[in-house]
Amino acid sequence: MNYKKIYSFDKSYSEIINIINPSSYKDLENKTNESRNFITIGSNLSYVPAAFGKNIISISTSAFNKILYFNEKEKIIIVESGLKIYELLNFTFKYKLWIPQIPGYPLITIGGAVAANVHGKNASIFGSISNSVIGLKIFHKDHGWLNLSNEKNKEIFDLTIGGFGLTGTIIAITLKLEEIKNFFFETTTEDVMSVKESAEKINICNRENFLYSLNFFSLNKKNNSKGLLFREKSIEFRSILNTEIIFKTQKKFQISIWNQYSIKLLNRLLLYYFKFKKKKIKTIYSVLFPFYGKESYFSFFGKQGFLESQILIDFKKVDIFLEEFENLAIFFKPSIVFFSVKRNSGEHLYLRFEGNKINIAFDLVKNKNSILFLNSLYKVYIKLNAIPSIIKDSNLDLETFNKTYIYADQFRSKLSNFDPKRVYKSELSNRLKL
Amino acid sequence: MKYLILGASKGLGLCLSESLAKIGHNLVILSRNLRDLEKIKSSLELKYKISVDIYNLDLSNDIEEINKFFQNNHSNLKNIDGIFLTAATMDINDIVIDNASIVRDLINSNLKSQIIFIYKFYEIFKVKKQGLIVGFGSVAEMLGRSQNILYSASKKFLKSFFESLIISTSNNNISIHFYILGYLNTTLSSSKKLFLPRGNVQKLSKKIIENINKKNIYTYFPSWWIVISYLFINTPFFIKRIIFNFFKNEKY
Repeated sequence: MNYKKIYSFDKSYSEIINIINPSSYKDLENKTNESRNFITIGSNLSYVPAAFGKNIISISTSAFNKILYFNEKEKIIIVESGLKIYELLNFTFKYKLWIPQIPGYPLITIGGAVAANVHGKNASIFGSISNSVIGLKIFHKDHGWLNLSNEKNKEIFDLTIGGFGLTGTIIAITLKLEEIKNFFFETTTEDVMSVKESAEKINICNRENFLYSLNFFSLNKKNNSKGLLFREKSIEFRSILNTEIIFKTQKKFQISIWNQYSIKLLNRLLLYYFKFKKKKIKTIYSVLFPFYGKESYFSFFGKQGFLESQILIDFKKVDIFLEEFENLAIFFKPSIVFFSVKRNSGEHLYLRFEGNKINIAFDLVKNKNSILFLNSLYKVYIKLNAIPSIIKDSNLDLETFNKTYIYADQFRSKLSNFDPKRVYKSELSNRLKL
Repeated sequence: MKYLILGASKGLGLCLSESLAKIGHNLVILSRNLRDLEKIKSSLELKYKISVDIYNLDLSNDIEEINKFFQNNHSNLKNIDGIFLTAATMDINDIVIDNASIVRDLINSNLKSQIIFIYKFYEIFKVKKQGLIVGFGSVAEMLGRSQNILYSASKKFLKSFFESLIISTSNNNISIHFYILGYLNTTLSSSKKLFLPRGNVQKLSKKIIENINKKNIYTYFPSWWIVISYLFINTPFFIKRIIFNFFKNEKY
């Protein structure tokens, strides 16, 4: 038993929790023998407290980080859930293979990625990680070891992908790999005058490899959400990718510097920088993990942390959403650092953040105004049938969740059938009554 | 080269297996947990393109079982160039208690089996005229205690045994390395509240591999434990008891 104070990534929630570190499968069986509530913890990089909670024992998967099987010809790999994203890529890149749904930080575990059903910047083509998962092995305190796939225990398989660890501990994952030709990308940058313009351009060119924008929000200007559109195309480049790279946890000082002046300064500097840097060659790792090495961005929100909201919305409704967003922003005056816009694809099921929609995310400095703004904005989400991301927003309330996740009750009822005692819980599941 | 690692399924043994595999050495790994050994074998073979043989062996078994293991697998074991005895067993019931099975398990796995392994391989290495035997002690042996009694006593015995091995092998090409380990950041110790910092298992593993071609090694890790050890060894027992009473909540 190891008592430790841990925080959600957005610093909205902290708890002194008990973490157990099973060193083997047998150890996992033994350590979960007592009748308590559990949840699985990987790297604990979720914005929200999905891997811990009050009076809940967190099971670390740090010892389960092996590659169990690989078949280059069939393009199949079986890995343990504690393997980190970059460790998987370091291995598969040697064979010019990968899974294309890569979340934005290298130290996220594969198990965490499956539990949150993550997507990457190329979600318009490849959707979320559910498209690459063909099998799972989970351990449940009462049900023991279960193999899950479309052929075996399909219902639990579907509940587990994007199920935030509530069906048990994901131990092994079978992934279908895709070929990748190039490990280098050419990034070109284009100025956009508004979030609307970003959404329009992204909606038209939705088959491009990586297309996304960063927009800055100002209440005082006519063109109040100027920004940059990034196109990242894979290119042949006479250089070899280092597949022995080790990404390490970056510790940064928590200093609160974001306010209306520093945000404005950051916006101007970035716009100015990219005026002269229209083209750049990057490795796939820099493209996939843009925040690695730039963690200061988050630490500059200070000890109180930040708020992020990410939604999926029909392209046709983007206009009206932005109008309502601006009206509320004028009223509440929240401090918005930036927007990002991209396109997603897939089918919304249970708790999965999927759909053929525009994906808009924005970060806010955490203060009273921002919270009031966000709480009012939730009503706009409900009105416009936008789907807010569960894993990004720890402020998301039960009412908004119930009204925007139309399959939430199905998830609840199937989960209760599978696990009537509801052994696996977290702050997130308690808040959203899952 | 081909190395054998005893207790390869977790902690230092696992880390050492990974480090040796990374530089291309073939491995023979042993542990009491076959499920874990199988997955370690797959992982190391896939990642580093080496060969890994696995043996499911419980060191707490009676000595006859260990002897039988050697008889049955002699042809494979004779090709081994060095052994790493990382296995260690602790039990929360390792206190002053009349329990024959706990006594047998702890003494067999921490001491008797390891000595059998050393003697068997000593014979193999003598024929080959070279070989490496790496053992691991613990700072737990410095001070009597109310828990982990047999574990610490076994480590004290092992320390003396390795000192004798170093002296006995001074005229041949068999290398003897002995590391006396302080607290390490393994899953075994992660839940324990300790008064001194933990050593990094990866660093230890790196150090062991850097020393692999040296004749004899007898050292502490982390190295600053040598100072604490020196002070303890030269401290009268009645003072040690006072210190023990002060730290008595600490479980090694």
